[in-house]
Amino acid sequence: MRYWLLLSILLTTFSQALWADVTRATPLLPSIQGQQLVVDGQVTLGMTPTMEKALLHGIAVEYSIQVTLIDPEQWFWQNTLASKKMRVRLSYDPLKQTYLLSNLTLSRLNTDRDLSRALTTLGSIQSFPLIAIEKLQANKAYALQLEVRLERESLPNALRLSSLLDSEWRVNLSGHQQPWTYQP
Amino acid sequence: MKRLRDKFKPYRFVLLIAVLLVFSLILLSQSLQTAQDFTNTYGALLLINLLGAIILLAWLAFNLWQLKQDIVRQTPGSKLQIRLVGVLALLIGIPMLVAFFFARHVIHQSVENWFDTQTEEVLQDALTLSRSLLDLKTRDSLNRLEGLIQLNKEGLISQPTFTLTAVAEMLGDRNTDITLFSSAGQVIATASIDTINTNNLLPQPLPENILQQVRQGTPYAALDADPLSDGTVSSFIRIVLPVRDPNQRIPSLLQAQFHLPDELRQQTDRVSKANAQYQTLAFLREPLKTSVTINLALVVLLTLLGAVLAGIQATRNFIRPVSELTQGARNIAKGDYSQRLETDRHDELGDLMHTFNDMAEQIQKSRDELRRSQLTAEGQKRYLQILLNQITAGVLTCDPKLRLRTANNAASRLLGTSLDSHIGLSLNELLEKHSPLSPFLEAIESAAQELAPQSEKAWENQISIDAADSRHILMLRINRLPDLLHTSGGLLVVFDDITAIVQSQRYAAWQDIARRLAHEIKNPLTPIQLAADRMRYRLLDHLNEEDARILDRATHTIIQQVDSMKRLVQDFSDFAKSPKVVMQQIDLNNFIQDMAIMYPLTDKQRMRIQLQLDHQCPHIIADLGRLRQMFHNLIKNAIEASEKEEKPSLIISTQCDKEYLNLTFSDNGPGIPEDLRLWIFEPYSTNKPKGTGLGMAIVKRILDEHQASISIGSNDPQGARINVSFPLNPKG
Repeated sequence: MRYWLLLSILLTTFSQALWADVTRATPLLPSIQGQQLVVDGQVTLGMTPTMEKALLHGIAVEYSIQVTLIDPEQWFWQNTLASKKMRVRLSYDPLKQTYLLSNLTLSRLNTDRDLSRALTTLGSIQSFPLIAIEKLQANKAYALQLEVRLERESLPNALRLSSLLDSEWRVNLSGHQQPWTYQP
Repeated sequence: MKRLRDKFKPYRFVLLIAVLLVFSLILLSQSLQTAQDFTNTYGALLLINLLGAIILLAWLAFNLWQLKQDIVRQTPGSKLQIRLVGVLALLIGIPMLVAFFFARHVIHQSVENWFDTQTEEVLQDALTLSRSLLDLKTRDSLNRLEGLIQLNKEGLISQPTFTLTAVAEMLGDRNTDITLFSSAGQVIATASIDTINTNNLLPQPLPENILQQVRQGTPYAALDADPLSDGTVSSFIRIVLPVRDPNQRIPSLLQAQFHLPDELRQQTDRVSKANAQYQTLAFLREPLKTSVTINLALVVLLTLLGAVLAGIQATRNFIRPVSELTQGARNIAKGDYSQRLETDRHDELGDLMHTFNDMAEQIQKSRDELRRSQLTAEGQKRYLQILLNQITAGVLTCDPKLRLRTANNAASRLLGTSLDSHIGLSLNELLEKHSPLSPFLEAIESAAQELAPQSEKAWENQISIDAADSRHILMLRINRLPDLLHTSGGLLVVFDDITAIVQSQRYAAWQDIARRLAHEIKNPLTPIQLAADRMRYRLLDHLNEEDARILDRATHTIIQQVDSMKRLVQDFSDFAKSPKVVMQQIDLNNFIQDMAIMYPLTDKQRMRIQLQLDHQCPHIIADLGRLRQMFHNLIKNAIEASEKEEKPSLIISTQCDKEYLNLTFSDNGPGIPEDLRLWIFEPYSTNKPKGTGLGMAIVKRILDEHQASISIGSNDPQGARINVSFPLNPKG
């Protein structure tokens, strides 16, 4: 398989969305807090056995969680009204046998001994400020888009190429959209 | 410098791609190593290299396709080039593939050598030992804390702050924080001894899972880590124990955080870090091999493609002089002697191309000389041909195998056939096409047999050939042609039509005879006739009846025969006469109408003469008397020929064109036999019992005086047709 990488790399690079994702997400819950549109939600970050093995071997895994507000009436290249990204990192301490949970965007650090709980904690979206409501039109239909991406550049150099080609490293969530109408 | 630039010009695309790809490969390699600046561009770099490889592959395919097209078009040097490219590809490809697999094997082996089972076990043991040490310390701390709680549980409930401080002092460990929580998790009291966690003025709340566990009566003891505000993690032993009242209820929870001594913490951290690094490397072993293999394969592929492409270009440059030489030789073979090869090479191939140019120049000079000679020869040949065509005698040549080589216009005219279309035919083939030429061709064959090779003597003979309406007498003179190879040469045949000369000579002879006959016979005839008349007049009445009858018959016969002889003599006299012709403008149509009146229909003269005249005909120049004699002879012949016909008729017609006035006499008699037509104009040639044979000879002579021609044919359905053509513009 290794020798076919040259031929398959283009397909694998540009066809990520065709593969089944293991990352799951509950619907986003938008709300107005003060003069801001904020969203809450819960993402269960994907973790395949290979990734878990890498984690236990001391390799940190980083995810980016991006929430985007879209105006569906615009062309796709100019329909983004607001976009916010949160970057999180998960690593493992073999001595303490504890997972370290880092929210790089909010500069928060937690520990947890349970992996699934750690993934849920990292994927928690709480009061995520998106856009000032003054920029929104009342009773207009918008769309909220959630994207979760494994940040490959944070992986060790030797692992980057393999992660591009190995389906065990495909945990991205894309195309997760839900309509939302701004009602003041 | 310019030469160097020109030499590298064909390789510039390969060099450009190669440089870009090498640069890209370096960046790719850096991105896989340490340079963080390139990490984000790894995918792009990989894509660039792949695109570069695809471009080179496409270019290689295009070059190979061009080579195939060259072979199909049989371009000079294409086969040699494909052979060189194949050899080059093998010479480059095989070592590179060997190097690739060897390098891959060495790298994989080196990666495998990084890992050692013993090292892994030692590191694992060290980690386990660290954990055991920490566990031991945890259990020790748990036991000591449990004992203290047992001793001070009443105080912890009634006087928690005081008792908590006393417990801390009794523990005696430095860097220890003790906190008493209510069962709901609220902080009741806290005490610290030389804690290093000075940032945490207030203890952190208990995690929910620990709170629930201890509330159920199960102690919690573990090595925990707390994130610090600076982003680091603080490692400590956390002990949480329930504090029971006398009723075994748990009103509060006691947490002790034993911060590890610096030395122990550093040692365990180092063990943990070393183990983690080793585990990471162990995990990355296969991905590392994959990455290295891919990069190595890319390097090999790009190098191989670049080398093969450069090799193709190099062989093309090497083959080009050979191709140019081959093409130049082909062009010269096709006759293009202006071919020159341009080269600035200074090697053996350059010398060869210069030599080729010299050779082509010499060939061109020789060819120009030859062409000039050919042009001169052709000019001379044309000049000779014109001369030959200008002379009236027929000239033709035959090769040694008696095949017709050349013939002038006069030869075709005299033989009555176009010889131009028969050039190259043998005499036998010519005979098959034109049997009337048999005497002529036989004469040539005879001459060929009689004339010895290189003979300078001439073979001469006179022959007759029959044309459509007349017989021609040809005088032949045949010579051997000189031959450059000194073998039997061809024949030069010169001939002329001497029919007119022979005829004139014959006429002159006959005229002389006629004149002598007229002179010798005419003079005694009159005395004979007079003597016969006198004899008859004097003696007839004096003889008896029988004698008188005999005398009468005899004298009558004498007189009749004398009359006949007189007419014969008159004809001789007419034929022998050469009166001076007086030419004048004559309207031939009026003349014919006048002549026709002289032959009215009578019992004796039963022939009906019809005239069909073209009144558009111009006048002709003729002697009226001679013309009248000619008409008289022809009409008389027609009347005599048609005597036995029931309704004899003669049609006299005229018709004109630009050059001739054609006069035709058509009767319905028996016609003139074909064999007679050949000699009918000869004197004394006749098929009539009473004819003198001079009529048509006189006609021919008169027409010759008028430069007119006469021909004899057959009338439809029967009879003879005599055509006479008068030139409208006679010469002289």
